[in-house]
Amino acid sequence: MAEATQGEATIVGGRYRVMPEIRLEEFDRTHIEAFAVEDMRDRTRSLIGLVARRGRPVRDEWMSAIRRIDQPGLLRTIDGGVVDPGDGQGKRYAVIMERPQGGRVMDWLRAEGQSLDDLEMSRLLLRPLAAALKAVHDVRTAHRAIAPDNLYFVDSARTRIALGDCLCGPPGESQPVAFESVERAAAHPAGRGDGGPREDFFALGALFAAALARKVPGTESPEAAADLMLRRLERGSYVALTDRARFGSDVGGLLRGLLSDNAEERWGFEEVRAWLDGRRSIGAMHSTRPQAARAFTFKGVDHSNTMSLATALAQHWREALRVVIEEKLDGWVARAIGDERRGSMIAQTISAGRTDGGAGADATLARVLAALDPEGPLRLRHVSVMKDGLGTLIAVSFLDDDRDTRQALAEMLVEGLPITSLGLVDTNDAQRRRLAQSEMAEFMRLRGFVAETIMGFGLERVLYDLNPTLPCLSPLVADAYPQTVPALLMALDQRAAKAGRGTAPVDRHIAAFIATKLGISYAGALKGVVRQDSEASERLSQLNLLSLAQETQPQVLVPALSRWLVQRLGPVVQSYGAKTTRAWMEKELERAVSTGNLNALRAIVDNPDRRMADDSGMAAARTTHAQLGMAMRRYDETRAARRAEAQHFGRQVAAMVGYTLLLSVLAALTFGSVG
Amino acid sequence: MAKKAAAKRRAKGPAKSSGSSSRLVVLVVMVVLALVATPTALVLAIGMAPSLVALFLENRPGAYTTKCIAACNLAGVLPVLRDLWLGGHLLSQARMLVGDPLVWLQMYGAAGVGWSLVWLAPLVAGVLADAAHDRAIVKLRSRQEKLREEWGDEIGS
Repeated sequence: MAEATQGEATIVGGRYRVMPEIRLEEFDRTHIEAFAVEDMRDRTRSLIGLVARRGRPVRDEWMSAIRRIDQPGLLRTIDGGVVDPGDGQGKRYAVIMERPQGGRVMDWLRAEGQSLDDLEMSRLLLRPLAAALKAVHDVRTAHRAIAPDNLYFVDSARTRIALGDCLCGPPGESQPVAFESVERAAAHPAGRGDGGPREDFFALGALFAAALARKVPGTESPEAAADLMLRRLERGSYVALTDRARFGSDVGGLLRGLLSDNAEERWGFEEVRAWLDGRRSIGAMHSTRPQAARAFTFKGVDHSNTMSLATALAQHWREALRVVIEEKLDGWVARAIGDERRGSMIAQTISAGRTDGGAGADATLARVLAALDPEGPLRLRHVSVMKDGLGTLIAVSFLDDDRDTRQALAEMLVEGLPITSLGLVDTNDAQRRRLAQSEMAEFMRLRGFVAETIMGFGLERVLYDLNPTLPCLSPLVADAYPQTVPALLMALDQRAAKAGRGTAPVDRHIAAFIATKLGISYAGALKGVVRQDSEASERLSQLNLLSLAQETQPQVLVPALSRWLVQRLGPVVQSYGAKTTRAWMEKELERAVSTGNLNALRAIVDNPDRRMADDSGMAAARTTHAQLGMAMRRYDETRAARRAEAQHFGRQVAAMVGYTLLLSVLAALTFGSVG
Repeated sequence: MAKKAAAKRRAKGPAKSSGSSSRLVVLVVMVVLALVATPTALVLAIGMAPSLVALFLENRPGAYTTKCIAACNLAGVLPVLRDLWLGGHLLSQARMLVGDPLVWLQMYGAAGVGWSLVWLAPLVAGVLADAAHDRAIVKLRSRQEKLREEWGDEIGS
């Protein structure tokens, strides 16, 4: 039975069986493990399964688009799905691909491919890869995993090359820093952002340059990477990445076009195809990044443009703000760069913000850097991230349990850093302005999520909002990889068996996941559902959220989860004043538990009419109790008076008896019966 | 408190005046009787002595003690008076009657019955009042207890 379950857990799409017992380490990449795969309908097919290591977000939302692409320059993506390799790390996402037969291109180039000249290399690499990228871009996504270790010979004769998987991991993370456009290279690897065709073609140019040089620059050491970055910022990527290599002029022109730091001027598919077809042209000679009339010297290094300076300032965060203020950065930007608007924005940020240390000063510096380098990543303390990379970096920070990064990302959103940089968009460009406005609205929405502390919101809400296919990361269900509400409910139902009474079935992740999937975008929608003013209301909120989730999936019944919730509803039941109501509730809950319907539980313990009746009953009981007490006190106070009254009455009675006796004697004397 | 005192005063005032006037009436009647019916007055003066004592001692409103004792005392004296009146209403006969211990026992015994009634009736009424009070308190307390049982001790806080 267990074996059968394990077997089912490794099957993707009902057809492809990932074989955890057969590792294919030659296809491993950072954060990706490769396994053999068997096509259960056609055992002759040679396939590999790439399984993302636990803790990496994947781009599975693009699976359906990518698997439709059939291009020679791109390894066929067959299918994708969640598997459990049985290594105790829970379920993970696996991509099933055709198996490349000729090994990695880069290994071959270093060993046997030394004799290839520039033009042969361009024919080998550029034509298939440019076509492959074009196909990827045509389905409105970007590859963003162009790296030497992701380039294979499809056939054993090594005549055809192809790019590998692009779904197992955040976009850009697996690319060497040299393959990233300069503004994205400064960002955290997991926060380089989705990018687009321009970024892919930059990476293609960098790959081509690395193939020509038979090495990837900046990979030797962190210092080498930092030095490369500085040279790229100051002298441009083309100069830094080709490192004064001597190419044929044609190839040099191509590389200049592909490695341009100006995304607008960077070559795309059409220019590369024209070049390959012999219509040779030369890319822009100079980067169009504004150069300063005089350099800004920081830490002994002269910086001639804003991105270079912003990157350096971010690397020395603690000293940066003092330098910015003392060296009059705003004046340098206004005069040396010639950008009055940015200069005054920096001046306003400094005068309006706190500069005396702590989080306030961090926010001030972050805003200054966002204004100084609006094209570059958002920077706050040790974190730098592209605006379109926020989602993946937030995911990685949660998966790696990196609190500092999470805190910094939350602060970025709360402080509105993306809005600061978007505010500097060229107002004369209507299209960019419209785009910036829609992005601003989006970031305002995200800021609202982060600022809201109620369960179902916060940074977790942003996490699931920006990563729609990310499974719920709650430790309660992470192993089950639930990507949908029904899957989450089922995972919780399975977890219920092992859960103790002290474990809450809903944490911030589950709440945010449900809120996202149910499209609850403002906290007011959860008013009356989620309250955290007491233990009882917190537990009731957990039931309410899960029942809301189940309402959308009435076919999913969860008896074990119901039992778990009922075990924890004690404080909720106890919050009712009337003993008979509590007894009734306990009996009804016990009866409803087996149905697995959370709404039934909710109807019992969270009925507004019942709550109101209980409250008014309690109030009436208080009043009556007090009245009875007062009546008893009155009785005690009048006890003596009542006694005296009774005694007085006793005397009256005695007098009456006396009169009766007298009348009896009189009657007797009158009628002669006495004496 | 002030109202109670005023009520007491109002109750005592007429009682006192009616008490003193009734004493005066009794004295006048006794004097008149002594003049016109000396034997009857003698028997009454001796036989009704407990009532007279009660009359002169009591100052409670309504004078129910005096009324009770007097009624009982008179019930004991009336047969003696009947014997006196049927025997010719002579002073010698009155002397003989008041000299008889059984007659004394009869007259004073009846007054004693009156005293007993006056002592016993308020006592019984007081005990009954206390019992009724306790019963009412128990009833109220048990209602409170039921409320607390249903709604918890916090309703009393």
